[in-house]
Amino acid sequence: MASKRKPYVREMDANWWKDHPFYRFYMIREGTALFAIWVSLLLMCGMADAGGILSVLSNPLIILINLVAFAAALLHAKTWFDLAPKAMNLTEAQNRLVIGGLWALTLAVSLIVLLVAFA
Amino acid sequence: MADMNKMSLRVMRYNPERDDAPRMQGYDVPWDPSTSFLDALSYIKDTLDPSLSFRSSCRMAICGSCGVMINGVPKLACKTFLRDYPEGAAVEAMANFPVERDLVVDLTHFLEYIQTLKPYILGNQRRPEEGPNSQTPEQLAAFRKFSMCINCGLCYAACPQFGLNSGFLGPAALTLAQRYNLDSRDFGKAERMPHINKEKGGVWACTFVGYCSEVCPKHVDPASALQQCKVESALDFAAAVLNCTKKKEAGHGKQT
Repeated sequence: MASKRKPYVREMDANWWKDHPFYRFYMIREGTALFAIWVSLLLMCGMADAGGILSVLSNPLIILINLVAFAAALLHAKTWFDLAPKAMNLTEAQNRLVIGGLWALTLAVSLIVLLVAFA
Repeated sequence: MADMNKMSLRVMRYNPERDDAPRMQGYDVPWDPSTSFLDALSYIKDTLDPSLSFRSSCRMAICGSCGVMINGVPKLACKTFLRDYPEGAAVEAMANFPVERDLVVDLTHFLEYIQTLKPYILGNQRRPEEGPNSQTPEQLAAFRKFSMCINCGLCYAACPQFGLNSGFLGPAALTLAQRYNLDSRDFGKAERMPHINKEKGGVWACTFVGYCSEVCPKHVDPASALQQCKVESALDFAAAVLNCTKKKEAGHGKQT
């Protein structure tokens, strides 16, 4: 007897992430990479023309974009640090230690950079 | 039963002999705080519509047969209760798998991938007369969490990378591979790594969406296992490069 099978495949379109909060947050998390590119481009421009970049940076629109980029960087750090210990097979207490350590390191480096910049 | 409150459920129906695509059908099901979705599906089949197809066996969250989507979230029907859905709910076949009929999906890919990664102890030469393999609590703790998998496939239904690329070995199979790679009694890592390293379907197809760990009914945390697989894969690659360089040097030595 011929098979009556006719498996139905539900195709995924490019909007697969839109209707689910978990997937939306994932896309935002991955989207923070775009702001990392933006900041990298700004830094490269600054290295090419240190004088010119200052006038660009004082533009209110650029300040606004940079504030969003800062928020994106913080979100990226938060999600990345939370995920980092998962690659290491540790106990729950060790996980918290790793996450705390990464934040402490970030704060320390940020402080040193700020001190060098404004001293 | 007659004086019980009724809840409206919408259930996915698909008859391969008649339908071109799945459709949703509504049923009113009597319920109390102890009614699970599996109870509700059984009630529909027994009383309202005997043509409804779904899989189930143990009804106590250990056989892993009754995976479905409830309001778009992968769940075990036996471990999810109507009391938590006062507005009613939609029950669909597990996402990312082809639908065979109603709530029954084709798990062939998933089962083949588990087999591919050889989730059993390999290369251990110890004979029964030598007694059991002993393990320290630390050695057991290294993989125990990953051994809790019941192969229900909910993590595949949660994984958009598997949905977009059915060649991806996927969360549960790779977690089992890592579970055996971490086991101090196992010596089969070299057999599993080529599959884990594979460019198209290997562990690198994972982008750490992390929803697999969220939906796992046994708290196995497959996302964590896959990140560990990536570390292993990277180390394996580095070792291969080093060995290759060594071999080349040895080769040159012979020629001169």
